[in-house]
Order: sequence, then C-alpha cells, then structure tokens
Amino acid sequence: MTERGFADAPVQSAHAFRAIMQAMARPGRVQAIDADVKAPAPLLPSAAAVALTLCDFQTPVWLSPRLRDERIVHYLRFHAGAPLVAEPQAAQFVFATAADLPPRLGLLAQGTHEYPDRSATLVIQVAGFVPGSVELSGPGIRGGERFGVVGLDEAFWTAMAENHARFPVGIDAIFAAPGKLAAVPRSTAIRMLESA
Amino acid sequence: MYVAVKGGEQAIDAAHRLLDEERRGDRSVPSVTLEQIAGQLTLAVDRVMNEGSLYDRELAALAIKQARGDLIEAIFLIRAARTTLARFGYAEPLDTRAMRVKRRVSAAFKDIPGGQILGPTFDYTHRLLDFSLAGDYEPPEAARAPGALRSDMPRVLEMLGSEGLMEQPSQEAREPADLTQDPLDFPAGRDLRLQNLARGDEGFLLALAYSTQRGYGRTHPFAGEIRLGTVEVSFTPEELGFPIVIGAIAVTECEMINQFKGSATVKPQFTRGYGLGFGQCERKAMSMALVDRALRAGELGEERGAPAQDEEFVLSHSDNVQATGFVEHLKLPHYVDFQSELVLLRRLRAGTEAAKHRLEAAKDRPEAAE
Amino acid sequence: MPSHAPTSGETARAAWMRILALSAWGDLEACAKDYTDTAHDVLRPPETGLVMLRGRMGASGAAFNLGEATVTRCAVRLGDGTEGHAYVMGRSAAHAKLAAICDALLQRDAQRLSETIIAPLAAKLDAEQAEASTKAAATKVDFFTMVRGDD
Repeated sequence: MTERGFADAPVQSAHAFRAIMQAMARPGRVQAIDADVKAPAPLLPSAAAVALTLCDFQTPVWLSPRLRDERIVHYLRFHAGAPLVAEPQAAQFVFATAADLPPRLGLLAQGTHEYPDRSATLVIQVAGFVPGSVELSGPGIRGGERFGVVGLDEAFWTAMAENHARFPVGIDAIFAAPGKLAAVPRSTAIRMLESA
Repeated sequence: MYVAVKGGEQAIDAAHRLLDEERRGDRSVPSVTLEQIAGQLTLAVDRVMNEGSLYDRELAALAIKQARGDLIEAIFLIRAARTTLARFGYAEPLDTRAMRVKRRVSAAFKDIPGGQILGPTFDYTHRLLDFSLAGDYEPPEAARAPGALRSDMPRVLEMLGSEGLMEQPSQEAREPADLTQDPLDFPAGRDLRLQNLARGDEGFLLALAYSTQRGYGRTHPFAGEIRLGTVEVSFTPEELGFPIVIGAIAVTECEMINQFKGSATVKPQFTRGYGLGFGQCERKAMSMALVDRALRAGELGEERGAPAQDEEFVLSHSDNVQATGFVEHLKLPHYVDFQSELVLLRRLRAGTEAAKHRLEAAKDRPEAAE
Repeated sequence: MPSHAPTSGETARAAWMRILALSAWGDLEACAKDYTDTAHDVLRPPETGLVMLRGRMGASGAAFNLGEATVTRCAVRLGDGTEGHAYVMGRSAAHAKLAAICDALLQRDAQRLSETIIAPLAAKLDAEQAEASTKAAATKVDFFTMVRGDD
C-alpha cells in the first residue's frame, strides 16, 4: 500500500526546497520544515520531504538497514522514481539513521575535481539537536556556530572534518529531525569541543 | 556583447499586439485550427517535433500556429516548453524491426522479402502544382490490397550481415550520452553524435550530406533500406519494475550502405550510416545517415579533411535554436559596444590626421625631422 | 531498465496497460464508461512530464537518445487497497486517470473486465492497424521483368 507524499506537491516541495537551501546556506543553523508529507515509518516526514524534493530517477538512493523497509522502498520508487542501489558507494543520496550510518563516509561518492557535484548527499535521521559538540566555521557562518546532533559521536565528526579537508570534493550532510533539519556541507570546517 | 536597456515597454506591448493581429490575418477568414495543422500540415509538424526534440503533435501544431509558420521559431517554442516539464526517465530503445510499416524501400535490392512498399510518397509525382487543392477537392479513399503486409519485415542490412558482407553495429552496453543533461564534449561518441544529428537542422544536415556526395568526404552511399511506420514505446516505471507500452509513434528510419572496408586480417565489408527521426522525415533521416557515416571517418581510419567529417564543426553548428539565437541576437541593442568602436575609430582617424599634419609640418621644417 | 524477468501477473498486466495506453481517448471512454465513477483515492494526480526515447545505432546496435515525448501518468487506489497505475503518451489527464482506474479494476477482476474493456479496444486497434496495412500493401511494387536492350 502506497502512502501519499506531499499533499500539494508543487507548493510543498518548494517550501521544503527553501528549508533545505537555508540549511545548506547556514551550516549548523536548525531550520523548521513543516511540509504536509506522509511517510511510512520509520522514515521521518522531514527526511521524506528531502527525498521527495531532491531525488528523482537520476539520483540512485541507498537506504541504511534500518530504513530498508519494503514500504519505504516502494514509497521512494513511487514518489521520487528513484532507483535503489545495494552499495552506498553507488548512491547520490544516502539515507541513514544516526544508529546505522554507512561505515566509511570517505567511500561514498566524493565527486571529482572537474565535477564536484557528482558526490553523495548524506541524509541522517536524528532525534534532535544539542548545542556544543563541535564548532563550525566557514562560508555561511559568521564567526563560529556551536552545533551538535543527538546520537552522533566524535568518530562521526572526525570523519566530517576529514571530509572537509577534501574540499572541493566530498559529501554534504543533512540532519533530519522531527519537524526540523540542519546541514553541514563539505565547505564547513569542524573543530571538536571538549565535551564531545 | 549586448547590454540590457530600460524603457520601451509600451512599444514592446504594442509590437506584440500588432504581431497578434498580423498572425490572425484577415478576420473574415476562419482561424486555422490545431487539428487542421496537426492533421494536414503533418510534415511541418514532424519537422518541428524532430528539431524541437519533443514528440507531441498537438504542441508542435500550436507552436507552428503561434510562430506564424516560422518553423525555426516553432522549434524554439517547443524547446522552451520541454524545459518546463519534469522527466520521468528513459524509454527502452525503439524496436524498429517491429515497425508497422507504411513505407519501405530499398535502392540496393529490387526483390526484398516483404517487398518494396511505396507508401505516401512525393516520389514519382510530377511536381506540377495541383490546382484542385486550391478548392474544396476531396480525394477518393486510398486503395486497399486484399491482404495486409507481413508483420515482420526483415531488414535489408541484416540480410547482408548474415553473409558477413556488412559490418555489425557496436553493441557497447554503456549508458548513452545525453546532451540535454551534459554539455557537448569532444571527442563525441557515436551515441552523442546521433542524438545531436537527430535534433539538428534539416537544411544544415542536407547541405552537409550533399557535400559528401559531391566529393567532400566521399562515402559512396546506397540507400540500403528506408522505412516509415509506427513503433510502440516501452518504458519501465521505477515503481512497477517491468516495462509497459505507453504509446506508439511514427518514425522514419534510413540505413545507408557505404564504402567497404577491410584490412590484411579482416575481409572487406560494407560500412553503414544510420538515420532515425520522428514522423515522416525521409530527407532528414537520409541526410542524418550520410553525415553519421561521414563522422565515422576517424573510427574507420579514413583521412579527415571535409567539413562533414569534422565532428566539432558539424555538432557545434547543427542546432538551429542555438544558431538562430546567436545570429539573431545581433539585432538586440549593442549601443555601448558600438559606441566604444566608434570612439576607437574616431581616435584612430584623428591619430592618422595628426600624423599626417606632423609629417607635412616635418616636410616644411626639415631640421625638425631629425 | 527492467530489474527482473516479468512474472506472469506482470505480463498480463503489461498487456492490458498497453491496450489502455494505445487506444484513442474516445474509444477508451466509450468502453469504460461504466467505470468512470468508480470510487477511488488519488495516489498521484495526473501529471504530465517527459520520457526520453531511444533508438539503436544501425537499428540493432547500442542505444542512443533520440528525443523526448510527453507522457501523462496517474495512480489511484480503490477502496479495497488495489492500486492502479497508468503512463500514457500525450497530455491527456482524463486518459491517464481512466487508464489507472481500469488497471486497478482489471487486477481485481481480470476475467470479466478483459472481456468488457480490453477485448473491444484490442479489436478496434487491430482493425485500424489492418486497415492501414492493407492501404500500405496496395502501394507494394510488383516488378515485371523488363527486357534490357542488347548492350
């Protein structure tokens, strides 16, 4: 059985796009996303809104084991027309939960120096945000932004710091929490804070 | 370079209203309907679909009406319209072997299994103006044979292929290049070249094809087989996971048999050129096949010197929307550009004048010239 | 690209989806007029987009992109949960929607609806194709032997 996607796709995908764009433009700043979108659990509506807004038949999608549910697979195929791939390396969009991230972020599509856009976007479903595990700096951030995500540990942020070191290639990360999202693109520098 | 200028909105509005009135023409004459254009100016519609690169007869008819019959303007409108639509995916390759044939001829063999079928052709007409069409002439219904055509028409080139006399087309299974997604890049593969030619300007391809026949990149062609008819379109929606037929389209296909080629190790074989287009577009499909073959010169180890063999020249100039954009943009305001040229020219002339004066002055005072 | 060899259910479904897509709107509307009011939820309202068509170089070789075509798709769900899909070339929302409803109904009761909807539409298509074919066949050249001059 197929869940419906956006109640009003043209309008709500535009709103969702705006929220994603703001999140990318202001790394670490939490944006509200209130799209009227249904999604089969455990896919969060905010993550579903990202998928339905950005994915199409030309963007292979990989789902982490916890999200690899028949209904979610069918949902993404139907609404986004996106092909599901077995290996995260082959994906342009990687959907995962904080608890089952793909093992090595450096193995995801990094883009090339000629085409840095041919890289993966990592969408992580999270419980929420907490300030203070890392300090972000770089384009879109005045001074520094203290940022943290429930359930993501130092190893993750270390991997994201290594990801930044590869700029202009590398992945971009979107954190989707209930009703909210934030992003850390590859252009953002990451400094670990003591409490992390 | 042109520079945006402000003002003139009223003039533009009035110009558009005047355009609307001129398009409408004599109001005592009924306005031409899209059904009339789609149903009676079918070859114009086919050309707009080909070069607009969008199969939709009604939209092409609308574009022709809006463009007052200027087909390149109509093609431009279609290209603009397609950018407003999301793409669902790529269809399965058309199977022209399963074509329901309306016309099928070979200039290479007289007797071919399935026969030579002339179909609705201008060939063998006398090219005399038919004044009965100026009135309300209703033609009789087309003649019917007692039986239908055989449903599987063998391909002429496959018959030669089975004897080993014809090169086999490459079966490379990589994802074909798509110039609507990635900019044209050189060297181009044959897949990209064929896509470019399929949407290329018919006049440009015709001239290039003609040039190969006149000796600029000779390929010694025979029209192996030309077929026109209907093929079904299959598409696999991601959510279904199996292919479904979503419609049927008319296409014209041309397979040219060309100059044979061999080497110390490979027995000589004919080579081939391929043309395919929407609707009935025989001139275009034949030209495409000739230019396709000419562009294969490098791959076939032939000397490349003629324009039709120069892929960068051909592929960069085949698109009439790009071409008309660049040529026609010259009429847009270039006031600032031109001013700078004017100033430069005046300065040069003043410089020349001053130099002349100095020279004359120097002649008068020989000591100053030292 | 198809991800697997179609199952027999899929083959049957593809066969009726083909007829629903190929039939002229007027014919479909006439054959399916009893079902236009079938209660349903709309999973995807009729939406027009593009499919890139492909040819094969040298007719049977590797694929190349030929040009696009307009396609309208629609998906519906009946009260019992059966989902119907349609992809139909062109821009007719009504055609795509009715084809999607018919697809759902056919999955529920293939036997009966194949007879009432699909069989007459298929017969009509066959007749049209046969007529076109006999007209083309009338233009087939019958060569009779020409005597060549002595040279």
